[in-house]
Amino acid sequence: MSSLWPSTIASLNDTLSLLGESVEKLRAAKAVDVTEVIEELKMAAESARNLRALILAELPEASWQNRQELDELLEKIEKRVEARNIEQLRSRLLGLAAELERGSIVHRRAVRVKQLNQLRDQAINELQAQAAVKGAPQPLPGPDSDEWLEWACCLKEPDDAESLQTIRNGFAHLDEFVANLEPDMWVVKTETPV
Amino acid sequence: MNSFWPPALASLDDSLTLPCESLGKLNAGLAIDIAEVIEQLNLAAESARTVRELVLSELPEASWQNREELDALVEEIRKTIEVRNLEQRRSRLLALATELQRGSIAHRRALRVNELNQLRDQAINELRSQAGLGGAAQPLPGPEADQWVAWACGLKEPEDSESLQTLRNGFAQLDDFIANLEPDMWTVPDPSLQQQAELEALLKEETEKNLRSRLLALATELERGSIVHHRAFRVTQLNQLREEAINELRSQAEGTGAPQTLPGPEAAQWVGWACGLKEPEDAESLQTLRKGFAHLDDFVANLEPDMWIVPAGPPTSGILPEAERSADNTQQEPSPPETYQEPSPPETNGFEETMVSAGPIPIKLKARKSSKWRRVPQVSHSLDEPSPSAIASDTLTPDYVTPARTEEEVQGTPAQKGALLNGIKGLVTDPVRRLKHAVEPPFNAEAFREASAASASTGHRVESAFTAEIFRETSATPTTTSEIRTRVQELFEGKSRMLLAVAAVLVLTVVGAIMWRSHRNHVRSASVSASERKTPDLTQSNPVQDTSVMSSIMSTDPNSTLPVDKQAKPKDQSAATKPPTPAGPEKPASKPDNAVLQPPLTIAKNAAKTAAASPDSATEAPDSVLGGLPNKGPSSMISSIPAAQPKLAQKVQVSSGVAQGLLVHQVTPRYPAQARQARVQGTVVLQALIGKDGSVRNLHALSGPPMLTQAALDAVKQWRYKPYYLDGQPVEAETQINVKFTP
Repeated sequence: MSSLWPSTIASLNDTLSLLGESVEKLRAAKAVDVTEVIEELKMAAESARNLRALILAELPEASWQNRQELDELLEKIEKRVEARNIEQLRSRLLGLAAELERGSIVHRRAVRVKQLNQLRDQAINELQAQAAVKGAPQPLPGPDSDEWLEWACCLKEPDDAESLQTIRNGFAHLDEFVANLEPDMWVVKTETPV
Repeated sequence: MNSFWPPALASLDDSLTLPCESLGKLNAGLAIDIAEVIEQLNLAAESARTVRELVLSELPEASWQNREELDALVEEIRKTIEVRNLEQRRSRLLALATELQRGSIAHRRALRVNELNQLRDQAINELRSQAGLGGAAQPLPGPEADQWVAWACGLKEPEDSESLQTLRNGFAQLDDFIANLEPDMWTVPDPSLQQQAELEALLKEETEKNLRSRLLALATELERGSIVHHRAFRVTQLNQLREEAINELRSQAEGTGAPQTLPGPEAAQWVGWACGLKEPEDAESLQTLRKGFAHLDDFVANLEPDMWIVPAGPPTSGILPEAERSADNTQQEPSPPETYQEPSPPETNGFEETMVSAGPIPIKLKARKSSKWRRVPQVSHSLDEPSPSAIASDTLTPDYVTPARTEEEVQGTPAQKGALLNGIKGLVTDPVRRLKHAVEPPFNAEAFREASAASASTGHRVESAFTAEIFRETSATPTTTSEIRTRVQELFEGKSRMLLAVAAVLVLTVVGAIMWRSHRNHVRSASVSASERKTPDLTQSNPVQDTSVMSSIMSTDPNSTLPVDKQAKPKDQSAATKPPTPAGPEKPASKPDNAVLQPPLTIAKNAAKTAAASPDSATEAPDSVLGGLPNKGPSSMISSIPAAQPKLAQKVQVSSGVAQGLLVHQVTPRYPAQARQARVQGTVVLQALIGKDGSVRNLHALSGPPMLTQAALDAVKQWRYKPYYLDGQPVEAETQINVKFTP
C-alpha cells in the first residue's frame, strides 16, 4: 500500500459521481454529451483498475463483490499498514541506539570525552525509551542508522531547521548529543571478522 | 404520443441498466466491459432522444428536470392517449354501425331479408350502445369498417377462434348477424358512385340555380323595359301580358321544382331574340318557349321589336357595337318608365304648323329620348310639300351611330362639344347664332328641331333642310362638319357678312322655290311617287277626324285630323305603305317606321327631278340650294342616299348610319380568344345586303383584321333589320357594316 491509495480512491469517487449525474440525465431522457460520458467512464475504469492493483498488492488473496466489502477490506489493509509502519519506526530507533553504543568519542581533553559520553548514554536511553513506548513512537528524520550521525552532524540552521526541529521535539537528548559532537570526534569500531 | 412510447421508454430503461450496474462495479473498484457499457450508453442516449421527441410531440410545451417529473408527464400523456384510444374505438364502432346501415341485404326470400335486417339492426344498436358507454368500449377485432363485414364473414373456426371469441364476448348481436350473413348477400353502395351521384346532384343544383337566376334576370329585364304603342289599349294589353310573363318567370324561378329551360340568349338580348323567332325555322325554340313559358310566349308573340324599349344599362357582354356604346354615351336624359308615351306638346312655331298641314306626316309615337333613340327631322317624301320644311315632326329614329367611329368622333372633340353646347344655348335668343349652330347640331332632337324652326322662321328653309342633312352627315363625316362649320363661321363673321349671307340665302330660297314649283308638275308626270299620291288620298279619305284625340297623339301637329285609332300600327308596316282607302279608314294612314325610313325630301325631289338624268346632276342640285356651301357636305351625303331613283331601284345603297337605324336584332360578336390573346383589335368592315325581309344577305368582308373577320361575319349574319322602304315598298338595301373589336 502506498500513497497512491487515497488519490486513486478519490479519483474513482469523483468520476463515478459525474457518471452518476449523466446516467440520471439519461434516465430522465435528458440530453447528455455521450462522448464526455464515455471519457468519464474510461477514467473511472482506470481508477478502479489502479485501486484493485493496490489492494491486491497489499492482500493478494483479497476478494470483494461490492463497495461495502471493498471498504472493509480497505480498512483492514489500512490497519495492517499502520502497524507495520510503527514497527519499522521502532526498529529504526533501536538501530540508531545500537549504533551510538558501538562508536567511541575521541578528544584531547578527558573531561570533554567524559561529557560527550554522558550525552551519548542519555541519547541511547532516550531512543530506547521511545522505541519502547506503546503506540506510535516519534518519527525520526534522516537516513538509516549507519549514516545517521554523519547526516545529523551536517545539519545547519537555518537550512535544515525543519529536520532539526523534529529531532529537537521528539528526541531532545539525541539533539543535544549531536549538537556537541563534531564529526571527527566520532569513531566507529569496525568489526573485524574473526 | 403513439405506440412507440412504451418501447422507447423501456428501451431507455433497459439501455441504462448495464451502465448503472457498471457504475456500481466501478464504485467497488471492480472490472467492467467498458466497450459494452459504451454501446449501452449510446443506446440509452438514442432512447432518451426518442422519448423526448415523443413527449414533446404530445405536449410541445412540456419541460421536466428529472425522472420523477418525466414519469408524471408520461402518466398524463398515457391518460390522454387512453382517452383518445377510447374515442377511436368508439368511432370505429360507430363507423361500423354506419357501414352496416349503408349496406343492404339481398336474398331470394323476403323473410330471410327481414330476419337479417332485424339482426343487422340489433347489431347496429349494440355497436352504438357500446360506443355510447361511459367506460371503455369493448375492443372490436378486425380491419376498418369498410372491410370489416367481408373480414368477419371470412372468419372460420378453429383458425380464427380467438377473434371470434373476442367478437362473441364483446358483441354478441354483431356476431349473430355475421354468423347469419353470407358475403354475397351483402351489398354496400360504391363510394365513388355515391360521390358521382352527389356531384351530379350538385351540378343539377347549380344548373337550376343558374336557370333560376336567368329567369329572374329576364323578369327584371322585362320590368325594366317599356312598351311603346300609339294605342293605349294595346299598351295596356301588352303590359298585362308582360306582367303575366314576369309572374310566370318569377314563379318558375322561385318554385320548388326544377325550372323549365328557357331558350335563347341572355336577358338583355332575349326580347330581341324572341321577337325574331319565326316559324317554322325556329319551331323548336318556339315550342320549348310555349311549353315552359306560355305567358312569356304570349307576350313575345304580341310584341313587336319596335314596341319595346329598354333603358340603357351596363353592357352585358364584353363587346358591344360602337353604336350601343355611343348611344350610351350620348344619352342625355333617362327614359321615363311609362309604357305609353304621350306625344310631345306641339311646337308652336309656324314652320311646323305648315309642315303638318301640308301633308300626312308619319308620326312615330316614340316621343321619348332613350339611349337608342333620338329625334331627327321627319322629311316628307311628298313632292307637294315645300322641301325644306319637311323637317317637322318629332319622329324618332334609332340613334344610329356608325360603329366604326370612335366616341370622340361621335361626340366631337371637347372643343367641338363646347361649341355645340354654346350653340344650343344660343339658339333660343339669337337667330343668327341659331342658324350658325344649326350646321353642327348636337345629338339632340329638340335642339335640332329648334334650329330648324328658327331657320324656317327667318326664311332659311333651305338651310333648315341642309341642316337636317348635315345633321346626318356629321354623324358619318365629322370632317365635313368641321369644314362646313368653318365655312359657315367665316361666312357669318361680322354683321355685314351675316346680312349678306341672309340676303343671299333668301334670294336662293326664293329662286329654289320658284324652280321647285316649276318642276313640280313635271316631276309628277315623270316620277310616280307613292308619297305624292298618298298625301291627298290620306287627307281626303279621312275628312272627319277626332282632332282632340289626334292632338294628344301627334306631337307636332295640333291641327291634324287623323284619329288616334286610325294611326298606323307600328308592326303593320306593309299596311302603312299602302295608300289608305275610304273603305278602310281603320288602316293606318302612315307608319312610324315608314316615316323614319323615308329618304329625305331633297333626295326624293332630286330623284324625281332627275329620274332620267344622270346621278351626278342629282347630287349637284343641293349645292345650289345651299347657298354656296361646299359640295362636300350635303352633296356627298345625298349622293350616298339610295332614294335617288325610288321607282327604278330594287336595290339601294344606304349608309351605315341609316342601316344602323334599321337594326332591330343585334348579336354581339364574340371576340376570338386567339385574337384577344394576341391583342388584335380593329374594325371589320363588312358589305351586306339587307333583304326585303330585313335579313342579312350577301355578307362579305371588305377589310379588317383577318383574325376578327369570321367572328364579325358570324355575328352580323344573325342581325335583323327593319326592311328599307322606298316609296312605300320594301327594297333591298346594300350597306356597309363596321364591327369594332376592342379588347
